[in-house]
Amino acid sequence: MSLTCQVQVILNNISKKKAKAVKKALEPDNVNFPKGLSLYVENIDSKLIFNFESKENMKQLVGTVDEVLEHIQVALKVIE
Amino acid sequence: MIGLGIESTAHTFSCAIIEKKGKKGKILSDVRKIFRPEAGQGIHPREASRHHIENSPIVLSECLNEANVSVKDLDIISYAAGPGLGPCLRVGAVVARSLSSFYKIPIYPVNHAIGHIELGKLLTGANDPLVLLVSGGHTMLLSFLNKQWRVFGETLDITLGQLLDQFGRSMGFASPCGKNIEELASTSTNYVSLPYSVKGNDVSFSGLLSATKPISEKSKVDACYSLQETAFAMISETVERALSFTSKKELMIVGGVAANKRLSEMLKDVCKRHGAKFFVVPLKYAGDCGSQICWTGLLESQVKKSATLKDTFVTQSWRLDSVVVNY
Repeated sequence: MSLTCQVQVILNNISKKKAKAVKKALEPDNVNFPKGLSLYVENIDSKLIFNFESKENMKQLVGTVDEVLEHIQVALKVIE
Repeated sequence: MIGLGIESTAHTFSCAIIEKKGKKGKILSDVRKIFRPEAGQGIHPREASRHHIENSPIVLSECLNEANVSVKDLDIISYAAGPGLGPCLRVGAVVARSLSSFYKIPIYPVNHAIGHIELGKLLTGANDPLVLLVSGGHTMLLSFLNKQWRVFGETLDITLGQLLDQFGRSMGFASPCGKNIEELASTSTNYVSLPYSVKGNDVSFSGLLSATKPISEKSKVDACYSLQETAFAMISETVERALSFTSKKELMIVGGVAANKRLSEMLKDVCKRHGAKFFVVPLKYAGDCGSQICWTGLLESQVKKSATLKDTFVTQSWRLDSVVVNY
């Protein structure tokens, strides 16, 4: 039996300009993910949505969510 | 032209602002926060990156205030894209990309090692030097030829900075340990024989590290003295051979270990024998700092278009001899 886990992080009430800046700041690092791990970022209206998915390795998923959340925090702080 | 440079390759998070007029550069501010692991421990990449995460907004804000510059005054932003620790590099890159994207400022990824060299040239006035880059991340002898830095010798295993740090940590010091070792070494003249390993024009320090550790159990000062004398003699031999081979008339030493006075003393003797001028980067800028990244970014902006955001990667093992230098 294989285990697949999905995590969705939503930033609400974020301006389009800020959402675009955060998305662009994080995207270049979303490469060379370990096998089975993925991240898809989408900007819908005033929401920035981060979709994480991991097959089997939950430790990697937790580590990735942790790092991405930290990067979002930094990106928002420095543009403010 | 005003630039912001962001450095985050290892234990230092730093931002600096430099104003460039013609070939001259004036450092308006250089603010740093350094991750200090507990005594006896090395850098854990994720712990260092968390330190950078917490401190980056503060460092950036202090840097802008000290320079009396607003983000909107910046003409370019440069960041250290490698070599370095992945999680740490990504923090600097995220800060740079966020500002670049939000404020529409051109962005330049910079090679950290080239940053050491270019800042050294700016601050010392060296023109065409043989460069000794010695730090926690590098031990390299370099000469510039046909738009690239060529390696004339390097470490085959650990760097000179790692040798000093790992030995210092084994004695219970906190990294960086170079200063503690230098202080202890200055109180001894009792040399204990240690392995001396120069292969071709490369050096190897791992055997020296293993052999020095047991000596420190008998006498810390003798161990520090003997370690420094042996490692620096190995470096001096390779520098002397490279000076002779390249016929360079200048030697410049950059990187964190450039702060060591005994190393400078030994290299000055080498330069005297070869009629070469000796330059050492000022102590304040020997270690990792935003200025090295900022100045190199400003130099690159003279000849290169800025990078598109989607191409602003970080590369953990980006060798400086793979970079084409056109400025």
